[in-house]
Amino acid sequence: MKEILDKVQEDYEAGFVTPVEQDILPKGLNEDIIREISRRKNEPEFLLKWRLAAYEAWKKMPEPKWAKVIYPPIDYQAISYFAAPKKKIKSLDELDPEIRATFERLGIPLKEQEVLAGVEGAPVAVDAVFDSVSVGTTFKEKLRELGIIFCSFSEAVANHPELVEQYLGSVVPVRDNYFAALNSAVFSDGSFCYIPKGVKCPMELSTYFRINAAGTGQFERTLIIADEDSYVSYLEGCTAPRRDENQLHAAVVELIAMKNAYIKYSTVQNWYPGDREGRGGVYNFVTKRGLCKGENSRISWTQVETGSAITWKYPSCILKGDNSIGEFYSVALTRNYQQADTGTKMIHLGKNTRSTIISKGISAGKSVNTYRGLVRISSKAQQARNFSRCDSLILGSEAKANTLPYLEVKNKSAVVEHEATTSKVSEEQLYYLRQRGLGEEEAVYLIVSGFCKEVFRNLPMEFAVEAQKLLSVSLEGAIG
Amino acid sequence: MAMISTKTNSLLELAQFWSQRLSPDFSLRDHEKYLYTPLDAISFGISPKEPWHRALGDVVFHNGYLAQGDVLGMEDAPAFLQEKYLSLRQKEDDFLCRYNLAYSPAFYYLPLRQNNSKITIADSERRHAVATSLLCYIPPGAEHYLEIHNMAQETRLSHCHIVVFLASGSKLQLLLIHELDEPSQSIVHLHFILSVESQAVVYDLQLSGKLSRTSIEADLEGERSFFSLNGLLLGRGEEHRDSTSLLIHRSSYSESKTLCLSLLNNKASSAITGNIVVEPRIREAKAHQLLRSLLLSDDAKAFCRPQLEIGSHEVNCSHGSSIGELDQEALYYLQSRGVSKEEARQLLLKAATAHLLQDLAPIFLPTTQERLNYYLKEVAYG
Repeated sequence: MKEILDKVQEDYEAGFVTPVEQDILPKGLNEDIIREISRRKNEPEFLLKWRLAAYEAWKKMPEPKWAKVIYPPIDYQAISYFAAPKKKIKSLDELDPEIRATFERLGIPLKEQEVLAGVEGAPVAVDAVFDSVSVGTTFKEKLRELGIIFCSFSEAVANHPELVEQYLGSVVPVRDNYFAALNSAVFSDGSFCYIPKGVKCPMELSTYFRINAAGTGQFERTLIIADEDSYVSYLEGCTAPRRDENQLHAAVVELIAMKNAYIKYSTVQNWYPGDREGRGGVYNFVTKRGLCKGENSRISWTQVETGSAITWKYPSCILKGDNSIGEFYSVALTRNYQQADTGTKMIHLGKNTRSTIISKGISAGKSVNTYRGLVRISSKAQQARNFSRCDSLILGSEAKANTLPYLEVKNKSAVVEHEATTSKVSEEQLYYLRQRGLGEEEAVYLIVSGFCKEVFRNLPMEFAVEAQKLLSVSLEGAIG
Repeated sequence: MAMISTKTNSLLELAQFWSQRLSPDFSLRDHEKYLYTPLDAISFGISPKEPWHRALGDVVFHNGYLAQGDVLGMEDAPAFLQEKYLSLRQKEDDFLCRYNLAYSPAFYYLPLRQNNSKITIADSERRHAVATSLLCYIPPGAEHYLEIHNMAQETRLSHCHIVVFLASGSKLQLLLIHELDEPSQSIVHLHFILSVESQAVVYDLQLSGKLSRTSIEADLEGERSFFSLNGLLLGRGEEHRDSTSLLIHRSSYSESKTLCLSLLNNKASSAITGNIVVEPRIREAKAHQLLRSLLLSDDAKAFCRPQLEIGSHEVNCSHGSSIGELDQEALYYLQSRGVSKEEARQLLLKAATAHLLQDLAPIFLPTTQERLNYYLKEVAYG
């Protein structure tokens, strides 16, 4: 067993830096910096006001301390809040070859005829965000024919200010929490998506986030609006270079599903997790929330979390419309000194609302993996149903797994069920596989992927392949 | 009634320390950290003008079960117990426990030599607040049945702090009944320290009163120690029930079971928090937890927090929680056979509690059966 532990490799494939000339704002956070970000992006007056209000709110807020994560105080004045490649481009063809090569190396196609990670199948439209700006969006024209707006956030602000003004901050208000307020003040770009009435988006939409510059943070915003009877499947991926310093990533994602609409949001999070000694890595403090606004609407969150030194993330659903459905499927794998405090919130407001939570936590090495989830049934939510299942697998004697659910029920017709288990890999299963000729690592991988099957099943095909691959890489050497 | 005013010098010092530092202005804000519940549902009603520590509580020891001679002052406890007790209370960070420490009129020591004993906590003089401190000790290999009957009346707040040391191989079955009158509020804090192969089984019946809360801390220090908590919380009117447990597995092969059920009618609410901690490098620990709430009316509310904090990989832990209403089909079945709705409800409630109380020692049956029937009926009818 020790040999396996000793074999632990630095196997973060996405840990390289792209040598590209960048335009970086001086470090520090103040009103002038926010005005400068807004000026560079030619933003309308309302957005600047919104940013400044968020900044004022942020200054008065205390940093949350309730999560089971430990990190040194963050110096918010030592971060640069804007970094963009110097070369301005008008179309994808003008893209800096270095950046194009970066995304190609990460398996993200920026040419429209290509497909994700070599998987044959339907094409995927990609919005690629490099540090603070979106460097390109594919298949824009094809989508426009159907009335779908899929572009960078800056373009949306320029071309569809009325939609942005109407929906921005409607699900995650500026004062929602400390990191959401910080994001609202300094967010630089992100993705925007609008699916018109009755349109089923024919391809997967995807955003790929890449942090490249040192001493910066990434603060992007994603806003997805699915109008009545529409459907969209959205993928999100992220990586960052290997560095000894910690980098901050504080994003906000807002989803709005109208009557009969369905949004499927999948994430494979692979930020740099830090090295074996716990040095470096990304602090991933993200606020994700979806609003099921209309009747029969549905929002489904699927996440595979393998990266980040620290994860603080609770993708949530507000089930406002009657008969609406919220789903959360998650696999969180931590190893070495990674800390994850992640889970979901299902807030039932409408009648006959249903939610499902399936969370699988795997902790290895000296990591801490916490599931924290809230299920709230309000007094008006008649016949609400919730089922939660949170399982933890502990690999190694120094790993920790916590399960902290909160159930609040104010309506008697509700049925809320929660189940959880914590255990190590079963000796019997291991023995069975070993005697059939599998090595220990292989056997554990097989058991772990079986443990996560319920979640992977809900990932779109392109992502499921990537998630499986990521899992096997992350488990390598983590077994002890 | 025994009234032995006994504080050891070091306890006295500790009590003085806290009485100087704690403000008598009892504020809900201070309490907020320790209660996970709709604070608007709770009001202690203690105003700064009536500092609660001026009124002190007492303990009634039942002659029938507990011989007068068995009740001793803390100074009569063996030195090692005094030491352990002191170190335990020095580390106390709960706001109410500190208050209790500062204002308990006496610290009693109960060696619990005989087979069974009964303690009634009551406030015979109808005072505003009561603080009680007890240390119980179960000697090695002994088996004991302890009944604690909390009968505060017209009491704004009764706070009882009980520490139970279980020596190796000892067994304890403890029945705690909260039976308060309408305006009374009571908090019982139980702290168990379990040595090697000791077993403690606790039945917590919260039957009546504006607010009742049992907060349990169990240190499973000895190998193969076992702790089980069975809680039944009945609420009606605007009552609030609270059960908080923190079970810490500090040794290998230790086992714990938690089973909690709340039945709520009218505008009653309950908050159940079960926290299981398994310390690093503990082997073969087992912990199982099931928290359930049944809501019988539209305005009843239930809050549940089943929590696991596992620091070791050789464990087998699970928890479950469910909140819902009575089985409508079963209710219909009974009604279609001529049973009135309320009676049917009562039957189903009784069935729901049966599993919880099936292992209750026969010695407790005379106290519990009639009471339970009475209060289940009250809850069923609302």
